[in-house]
Amino acid sequence: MSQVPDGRAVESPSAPKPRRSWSARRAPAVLCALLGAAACAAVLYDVVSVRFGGTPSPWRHALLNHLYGMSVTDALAVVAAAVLVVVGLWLIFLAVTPGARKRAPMKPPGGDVRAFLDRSATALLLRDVALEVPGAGDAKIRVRRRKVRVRATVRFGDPTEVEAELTRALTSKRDGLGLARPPRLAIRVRPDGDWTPPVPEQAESAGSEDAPMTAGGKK
Amino acid sequence: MRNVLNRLLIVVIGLVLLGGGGWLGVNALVARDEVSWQLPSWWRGPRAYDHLVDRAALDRMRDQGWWAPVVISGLAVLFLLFLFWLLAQGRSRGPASLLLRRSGGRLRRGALESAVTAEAETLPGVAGARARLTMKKRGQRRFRARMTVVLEPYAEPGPVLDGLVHGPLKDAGSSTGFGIPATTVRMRATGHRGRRVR
Repeated sequence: MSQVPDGRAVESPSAPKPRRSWSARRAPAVLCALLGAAACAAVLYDVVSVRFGGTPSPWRHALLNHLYGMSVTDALAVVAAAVLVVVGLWLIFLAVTPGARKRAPMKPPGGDVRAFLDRSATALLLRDVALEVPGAGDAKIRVRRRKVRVRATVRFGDPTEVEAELTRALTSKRDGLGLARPPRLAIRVRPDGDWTPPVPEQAESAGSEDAPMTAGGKK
Repeated sequence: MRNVLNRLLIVVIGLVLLGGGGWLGVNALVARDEVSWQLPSWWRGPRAYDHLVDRAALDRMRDQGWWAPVVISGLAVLFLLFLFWLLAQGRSRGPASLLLRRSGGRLRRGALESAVTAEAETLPGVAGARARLTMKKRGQRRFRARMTVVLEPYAEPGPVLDGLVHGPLKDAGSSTGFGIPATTVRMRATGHRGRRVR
């Protein structure tokens, strides 16, 4: 990965490669197991009760009658086949992909410890930093696995300066998140409705102080 | 390992559904003349206007003496397999308390969990924490922890993680004599309104 000043990930070559978190896929497993167990139990109960002199339950009777009457050319056969294929493909997809995309691995802190930062936590931490930049209004932050997209509005001041300040603040926060693979930042600013251009005289009278808004907003 | 088991069984079920659906779909499409595929000679399936289930063949099988026991035992085995798979989704965390060999004291798992949680919550940047420990007899290799940490606004996750490892986790390791547990940490943040600079 190349090193770009404007927010490309900086990776130290010696760091051990953190393993991605593989989801245990509990939800689909529980669903499959429940459905399977319930279906087996229902049929088993009915078959055994018939074996001991009972009568087949109405649902099994209706189901078998329907199946006996069904022809391959029925539209229902095509629909059932499509549903089976889609569900089957989906389960196979679930089984072979890692999942847990919303948990970004952090740099291993040593020992047998693995840590993951939720995507929403990344977004909240970055948003707080973005809102602290003087002149920045709303900041919408969308975190993907490799990239963070920041859309901010400028309420006052020079948009290019606000963007530079946002880039600086967000890059430093991003690097402090401790992520194993810091996401790339894509920052875009646009003036919001109330934005008025900074008064030129003020900028000139400020002289050497090239960013009066930034200077004024520092705490 | 549950992770591998789940994925293996899910892929098997997926393949069964895909195979069944594919077989049914190909038969249906060919029978409806919607495609003009030439099915290979080994293909078995109902031809056009056949019933999907051959009732006569099914009735012949039912009359065999082996049919009922085979169906019943097959269903029973399948049911037990599904049941065990379902039960395997619960996490076993070992006995509720352990005898510590070195000191001879008895350590409750819940007590250690709340100690780890309380120590984690004193770290700067941590709003809340939850620790779940797994301790099995014959110790060290089975000492595991799962932690969820809720970060405060403006927290620094990297230093928080280092603080966890060198604080509560290290202390849990030294107090049990098992060493730092194999831990998975998940960091969350609570939603809050952003503070804007005027």
